[in-house]
Amino acid sequence: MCGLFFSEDLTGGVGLDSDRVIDLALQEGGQDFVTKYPGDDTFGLVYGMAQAYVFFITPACYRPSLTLNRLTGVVTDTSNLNCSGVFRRPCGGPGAF
Amino acid sequence: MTPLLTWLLMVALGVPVAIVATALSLRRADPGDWDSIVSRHLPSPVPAVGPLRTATGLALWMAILTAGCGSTAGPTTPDVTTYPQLTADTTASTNLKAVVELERAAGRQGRLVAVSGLVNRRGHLASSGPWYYTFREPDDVAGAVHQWRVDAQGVVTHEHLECAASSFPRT
Repeated sequence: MCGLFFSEDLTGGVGLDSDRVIDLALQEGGQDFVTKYPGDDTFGLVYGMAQAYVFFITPACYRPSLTLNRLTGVVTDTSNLNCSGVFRRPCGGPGAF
Repeated sequence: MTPLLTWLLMVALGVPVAIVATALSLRRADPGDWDSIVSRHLPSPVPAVGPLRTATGLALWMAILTAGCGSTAGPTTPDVTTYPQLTADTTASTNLKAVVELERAAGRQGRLVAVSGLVNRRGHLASSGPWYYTFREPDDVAGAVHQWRVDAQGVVTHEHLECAASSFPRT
């Protein structure tokens, strides 16, 4: 996630705070994923546009993620919640973690 | 087209564009932007930066013209004592308003385009990584952003990335 396309202004707030987003992500399939592919129990969290992207940090998987609507908490994309490759983190710019 | 002709064409077109663009950027710049924030947090303000700003503006434009996005100089991080210490051990929203105020106090009207960080199960910062609050200004060159970083202790740093990275070299 290097959000070079991000343009929506978040100065008014990100919507659901990070504690709530992680809680929802774990409830909506994330807990099953980390049980199957254990990591160090940390998560890359990126707010951009209308979404909150939760990345599951596990060394064996390439950027597995789950996407929620940052205002409502509704899960909008689980297609990347799978394991392949080796995890890599963005190095800088919007969405760094 | 020979290399010499290409070079002459680049010089003929590039130098006037650089001069005009630099002049425009200097007209728009608020000479008090960094001074205002520095004066609020340091005992003595930083000296006037007119010549420095001129040199920086010219260097930036020349770098853009000659090197292009992705190959400019690395970011710089100001002395952390320039900024106030914010709330420690936070969620994404805790210091958001304070960071926006810092951005505005610096004389910029950029959009906050991303908030990001490495968090634990509680949604608080994990380890020593910071929250990144990334702003983009309308007049910035493509890919350029400002990032405010607030670490787990509430220490603030600021960085202007002339070109945001688009690859994933960190593991």
